Amino acid sequence: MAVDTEQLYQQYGPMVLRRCRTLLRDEDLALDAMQDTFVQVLRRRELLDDAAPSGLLYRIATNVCLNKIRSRKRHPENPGDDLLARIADSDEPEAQALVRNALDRLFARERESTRVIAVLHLLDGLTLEETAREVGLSVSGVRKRLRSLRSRLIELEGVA
Amino acid sequence: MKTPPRVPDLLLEKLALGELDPAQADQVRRRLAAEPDGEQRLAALTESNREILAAYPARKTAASIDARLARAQRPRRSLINLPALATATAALLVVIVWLAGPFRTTPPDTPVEPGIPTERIKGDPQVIVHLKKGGSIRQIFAGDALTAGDTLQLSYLAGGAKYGVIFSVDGRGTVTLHFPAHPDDPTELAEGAAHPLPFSYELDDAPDFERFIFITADEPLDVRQVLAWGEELGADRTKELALPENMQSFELTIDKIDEAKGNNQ
Repeated sequence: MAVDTEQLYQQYGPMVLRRCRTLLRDEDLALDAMQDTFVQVLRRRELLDDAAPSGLLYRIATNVCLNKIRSRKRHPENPGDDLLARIADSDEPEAQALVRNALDRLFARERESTRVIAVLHLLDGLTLEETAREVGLSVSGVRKRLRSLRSRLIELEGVA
Repeated sequence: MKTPPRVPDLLLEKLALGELDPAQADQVRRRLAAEPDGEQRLAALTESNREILAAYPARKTAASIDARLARAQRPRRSLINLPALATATAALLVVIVWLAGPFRTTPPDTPVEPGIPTERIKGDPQVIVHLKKGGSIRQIFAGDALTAGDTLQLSYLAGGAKYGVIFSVDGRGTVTLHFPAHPDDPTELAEGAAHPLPFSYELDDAPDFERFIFITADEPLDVRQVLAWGEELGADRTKELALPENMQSFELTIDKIDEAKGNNQ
């Protein structure tokens, strides 16, 4: 599929930047993450189909931001950030393995990163059904992933 | 009566973009109508679009993204003088002896054969990578493409530096320490000849690239601090290390390809 960067940005850039601003709470970091998101999409542009890509871009932006949060070890600025930081840093074996091929999974609509699922549900407020629809899993699959992540967080950090 | 949850931003974005299916769009509109500021949220989205595209115009931002994309897709230029290195290490290629058998990533238990003769190489500090594949051994240069499972032997040339740390960062942003073997071990470098590390290194299935970085200094290095800097690079192969003035870095980045797909992993 031919993808024009300018058109793609014109249509989805504001949404992606808003997403990155929300998660990173830093304009420069958000701009960096927004560009990284488009770079990651464009590197695999041949895999883009004609379907509306907003959900895909949103989830890739989420992944990019989580990686930045984790790598930069940002300090949480509010309870929401605290949750985000813990999710970003959760590193449960399942997610660790899954993150390895995050983009391939996202494009292929295969198994979604547990971290992204957690952010969509716990931070963004999507219901289990809405989260499941976004990531192409069953509701029980989403619930299972969240249970696994929660156990891991409790194990690692003693948080309920 | 229980108040329905606030419409998540993602669904609001999709509604504004016209990317919800009709049933879901109706449901989201109903929920928005029930929110005290539902209409304002939609209007704010339109205003935000205008503000963002004014602050970061499409043409300019797209050019910046394309430039970043081009940087990400081209092999990273090594700081090593490749032709000189190729010549100088030709002899090293001949004499490096590999042990047969499987190699693991870390901590491998497959030492390089003791007493490997090495060729004296002059010049800047360098990290040198050799690939064993089939029955052959060849030196790897920046931009060469390797695959998961390839087994590498790393060597370094101190080039006059007294202390050093070698680590690699892969396409997942995972940092692996190669020298010293453990963070608490001394960072003193062997002088003179190219010095093979005692263990080989098997590439895993991390995508896109593996970036080998050699940090040198004239004083002992804090390995954990160096690894923390490596962590900050993340999965961005274009990101530069911000080092103190008394340190230098030399690196070699190889591309990873997925043999099954014939492109980057």
